[in-house]
Amino acid sequence: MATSGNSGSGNNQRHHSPSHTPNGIPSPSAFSQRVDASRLRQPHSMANKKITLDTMWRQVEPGLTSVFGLKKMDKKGYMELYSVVYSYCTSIATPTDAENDASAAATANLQTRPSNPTKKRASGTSSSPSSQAAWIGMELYKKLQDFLTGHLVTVLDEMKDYRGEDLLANYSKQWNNFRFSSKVSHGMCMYLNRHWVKRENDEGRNREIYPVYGLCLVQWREHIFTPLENQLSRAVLDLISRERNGETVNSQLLRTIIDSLVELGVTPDIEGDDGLIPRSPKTEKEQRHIGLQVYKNSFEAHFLDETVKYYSQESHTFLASNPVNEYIKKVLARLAEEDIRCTKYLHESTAAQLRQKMEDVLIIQQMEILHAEFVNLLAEEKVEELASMYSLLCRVPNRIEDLYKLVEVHIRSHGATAMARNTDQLSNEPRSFVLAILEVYDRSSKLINGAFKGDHGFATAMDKAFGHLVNNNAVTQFTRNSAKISELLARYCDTVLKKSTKNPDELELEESLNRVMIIFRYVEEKDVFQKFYSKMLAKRLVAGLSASDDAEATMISKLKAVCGFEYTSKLQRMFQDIGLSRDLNDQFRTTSPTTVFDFEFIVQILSTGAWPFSERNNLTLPVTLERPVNVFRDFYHNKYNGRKLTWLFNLSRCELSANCYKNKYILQVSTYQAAILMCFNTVDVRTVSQIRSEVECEQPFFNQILLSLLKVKVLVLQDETEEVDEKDLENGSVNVKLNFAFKSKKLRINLNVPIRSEQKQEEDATNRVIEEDRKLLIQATIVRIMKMRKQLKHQQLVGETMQLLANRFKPGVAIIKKCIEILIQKEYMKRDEESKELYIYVA
Amino acid sequence: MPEQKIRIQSGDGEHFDVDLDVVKLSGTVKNMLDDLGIGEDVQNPTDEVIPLPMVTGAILKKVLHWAEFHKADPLANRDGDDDTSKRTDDISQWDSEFLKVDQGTLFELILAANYLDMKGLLDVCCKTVANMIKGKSPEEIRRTFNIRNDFTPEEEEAVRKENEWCEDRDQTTR
Repeated sequence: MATSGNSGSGNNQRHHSPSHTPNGIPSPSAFSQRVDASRLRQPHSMANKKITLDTMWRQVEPGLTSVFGLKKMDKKGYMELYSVVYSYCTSIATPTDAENDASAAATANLQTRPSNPTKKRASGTSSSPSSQAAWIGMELYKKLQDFLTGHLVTVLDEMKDYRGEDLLANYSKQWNNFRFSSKVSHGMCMYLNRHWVKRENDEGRNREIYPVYGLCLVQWREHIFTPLENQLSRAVLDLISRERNGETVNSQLLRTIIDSLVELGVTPDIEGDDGLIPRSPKTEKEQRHIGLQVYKNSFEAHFLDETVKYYSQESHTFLASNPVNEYIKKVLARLAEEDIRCTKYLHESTAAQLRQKMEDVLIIQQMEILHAEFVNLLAEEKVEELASMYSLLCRVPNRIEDLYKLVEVHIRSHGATAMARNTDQLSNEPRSFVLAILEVYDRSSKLINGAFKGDHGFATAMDKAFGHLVNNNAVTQFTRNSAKISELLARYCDTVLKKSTKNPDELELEESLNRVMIIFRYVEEKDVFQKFYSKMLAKRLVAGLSASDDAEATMISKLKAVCGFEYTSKLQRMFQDIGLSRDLNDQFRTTSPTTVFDFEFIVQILSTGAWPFSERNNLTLPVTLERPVNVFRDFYHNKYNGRKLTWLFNLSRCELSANCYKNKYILQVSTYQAAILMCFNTVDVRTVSQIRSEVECEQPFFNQILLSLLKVKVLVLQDETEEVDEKDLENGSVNVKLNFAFKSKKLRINLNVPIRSEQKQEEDATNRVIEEDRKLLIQATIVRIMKMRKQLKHQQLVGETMQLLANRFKPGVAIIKKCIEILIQKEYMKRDEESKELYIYVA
Repeated sequence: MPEQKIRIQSGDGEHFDVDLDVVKLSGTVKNMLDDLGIGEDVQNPTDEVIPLPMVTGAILKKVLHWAEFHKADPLANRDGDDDTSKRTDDISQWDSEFLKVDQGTLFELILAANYLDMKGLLDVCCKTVANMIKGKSPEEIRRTFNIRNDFTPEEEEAVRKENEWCEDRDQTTR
C-alpha cells in the first residue's frame, strides 16, 4: 500500500516509514538557504508593516540623494533605509495588486521547492507569474536605475566640456565619489541584493540584473564612460606619452582612471555563491579576461598601438644620430621604464603584451644593426658592451642562437692566432705550451662568463671551439703529430710533480694540477696522454723523484674522476707498488744477515704489466752486487712462493765511493757503469774485450756505457787521446785504465745520464705501444657492442664504437674497419649472408 | 583599551551595549559599520545608536545571547558552508538547548536572523524547523504549524504529481 506507485504521496511514505534516512531527501535545508520573511507571519512581529512602493521610495529617494550628494549619512539614517528596503522586499502584495492567491501559490512553491536544479528551473518558469509577484524587487530596482540615470546625467553635464588632464582630474574625482556613494547604497539595499537580485540570478530568469553596486557601475558605464570614452582614452594616452617624453605626470591619476576601466568591465556573470546553479565551465583563459573587456577595448588596444608607434619612431631617430651601444643602453632603460609603468598604473595582464611589443619594435626590428654591432664588439672583446647587448638579445626568443656560432668562430680564431705566435718554443717547452693554451681558455671564459652570464649556449660554443683548439693548433700542425699535445701536457705534469729546487707549495701545486685538468678534459687522444703520463710517473717513482706523494695521488684521482677506474688502474698500481716495496725493504733489512754485505741495498718490486718497462740488455753482476741480489731473491721467494723476479738493471743505479783518486769522490752510476767500474777494483788496466767478457753486456750498448765513463774521464784509454769516440773502441784490444788524475769540483758526481739511443728507442716504443693498444681497445669495444646487440649494421657499429671510445681517443673509420676484419677472421662475428652491411655476433 | 562597545536599539526602544565583535556577527550591522566607518565614535559608544527597528527587544536579547556564544566561531562555521547547511543532524547541543523555545519565538528568531543577516543563526533555526517537518505527513505538518488546507483535491493531486520525482528517489533509496 505504501509504495503503490505514482499515486502515493511522498509525505505519506515518510509517515509510514518514519525511521527512513536521517538525511532525507529532498533536503529540507533548501528551505534554509533563503527565508522569505513574508511567509512567516506572526502577530507580534514587527516585520510586516505593509508598505507600498511609493511609501518606500518616498523614504529611499532622499536618502540616496544625500548619499550621492555626498552628505554625511548617520547610522540611524542608514539603518532606517535598510529597514525600509527590507520591509518593502518582504511585504507580499501591494494592496493595488489583485494577487491575493499569490501567497497561497507561493506557499506551495516554498514547500515544493526542491534542491534538484533542473526541476527547480522548470517550476520556476511554470509558476513564473505568481512567483515574480511574490518576490518583490523589480520595481525598486527600476527606480534605482532611473535615479542613477538622473544623477549621472547631471554629473556628465559637469564634465563633458573638459579635455586632457583636466578631464582626467575631473573624471577621477567624480569616479571616486561615485564609487563611495555606490558602495553605501549597495549596503543600504543589501536586502534587495541578498534576496531578490540573488534569486533573479540564481534562477537564470534575468541575467541582466546586478547587485546594486554592479548596477551603479553599469549606469556609470552607460551614462558617463561611453559618452566620454574617446576623450578619456585620448587624454590618458597623451599623458602617458608625455611621461615617456620625460615629463613628471600624476601617475596616481592614471592609476585611478585605469582601475576604473577595469572595474567597469562588470558582467552579469557574477558567480552565484550557493552553488546550486551549475554555470557553464569556463576555460582558464576566458576566466582571466572576464570583466576586462572595457579595459582591453577602450584602452589597452590603443595603448599598445601607440607604444609601437612611439618606439619605432624613437628607435629610428635615435639610431640615426647615436652609436649602437648608446642605443642598447637606451633600450634597456626603456624596457625597465615600461615594466615600472606596468606595475605603477596598468593592469597586470598588459605586462606580457607590452613587453613583447617593445621587444619586437626595439630589438627584433633592429636586429640587423644589433647583429653587426655584436660582431664588432666580439672582435674587440668588449665584455661590458657585450654584456648589455646580451641582456638585450636574450629577451627575444631564437635570436641568440645565431650568435653561438659567431662566438665559437671567434674563440677558435683568436686561439689559433695565439698558438701560432711562437710555435717553435711552444712545441718544445711544455710549460709555455700549457700556459699559452690556458691563456686562451681564461680569456674565453672571461668572455663567456662576463659578457654572457655563462649562458649555456655560449658555454657550449666555447667548449666546441676550445676542444678544437686543444687538438688542432699550430703545434700539432708544426710537429705533424696530434699526439704532441698529450705529450706536452704529460711533460708539463712531470715538471710540476717532479722534485726540483723550485717546487711550488701545496696549494699552488694543486692549482697547477687543476689547470692541467682543464686542458685534459678537451684532449681527444686521452690514451696517448695516459701512455706518456704513466711512463713519466714510472720514472718519477722508480727514481724517487716525486715532489709529493699526496700530489701524485691527487692527480691520479683527478684523472680517474674524468676517465674512470680503468684508465688509471695501472697508474694506481704503480703507486701502490712503491708503497709495498718500501714495507718489503724494511722487512728485508730486519730479517737478512747483515754480514753478507756492508752497504745499503734497496729493491723495488714492480708488477709486470702495470709498469711501462721492459727488460733489456744482459749483464753479469760483479760478485759484490750479486750476493745481495741472491739473498733478496731467496727472501722474496720464501715470502711469495711461485712469483718470478726479473731484474731490470737498466733502471737500477748505484752509488760507488771511489778510493782511487786524490779526493774521495762518490759516483752515482747506473748498474752497468758500476759493473764496468768494479772490474777495476783489482786491476788498473784492462782491454775492452776483457771488460766485455766480464760483464757479458751486448753491443753496441756496452760500448756506449763504456764511452760514457771515458768521456767524463773516470776511465781513460791507455794512449790518452784527447777526444774519444765509438771508433776507438772497435778494436777490442784497446787498453782502458783508471784515470788516477781524475778531478772534479764536486765530490758527489752523477754519471748516470740517459743514453741517447735509449731515449729514441723509448719514444718509438711508446708510439708503437699506443697503436697496438688502440687496436686491442677498439676490438674489445666492438665485441662488447656486438655481444649486447647480437646484430648490427656497419654504420651503427662504427658510430657506437666511436661514441664509446670518445673519452679515450678518436678512432679513424679505417682502423675500425680493420679491427672488424680482424674480428671476423677470429670468428667473433660474421657478415650476414644476404646483407653485406649487417654483422652478426658469433657466440 | 577596554572592549569596544556599540549601542543598539530594538524596534520597541530597548537599548543594548554590545561588544563590537559580537555585533559584527550581523552582516547588516557589519556592512553598515564598514560603509560608514566606525572611526568617529570609537571612544564614545553611546554617541550614536544603531536602530534595528525590525527586531523586538525580547528577540534581540536572544539573538545577542546566541551571538555572544558564537562570536569566536571560525568564519566557515559562522557563515555555514554548503556541506553543513545541507545537513540537519549537526545542531550543536548548545544551539538545540538555545532553540528550545515556542514556535512563535523560533519564527521570530528566523526573521531577525534574516533581517540582521546572520547566516549561522538562520541556518540553525531553519534546521530546527526542518527537523520538525521531517518524517511527517502533509496532514501532520498542517497540524504542527497550524496551517489551513486551502488546496482543492485537484490541486493537491497536481502538487503530488509535480513532486513525483522525490517519491521515486525515496523508493530507490529504500
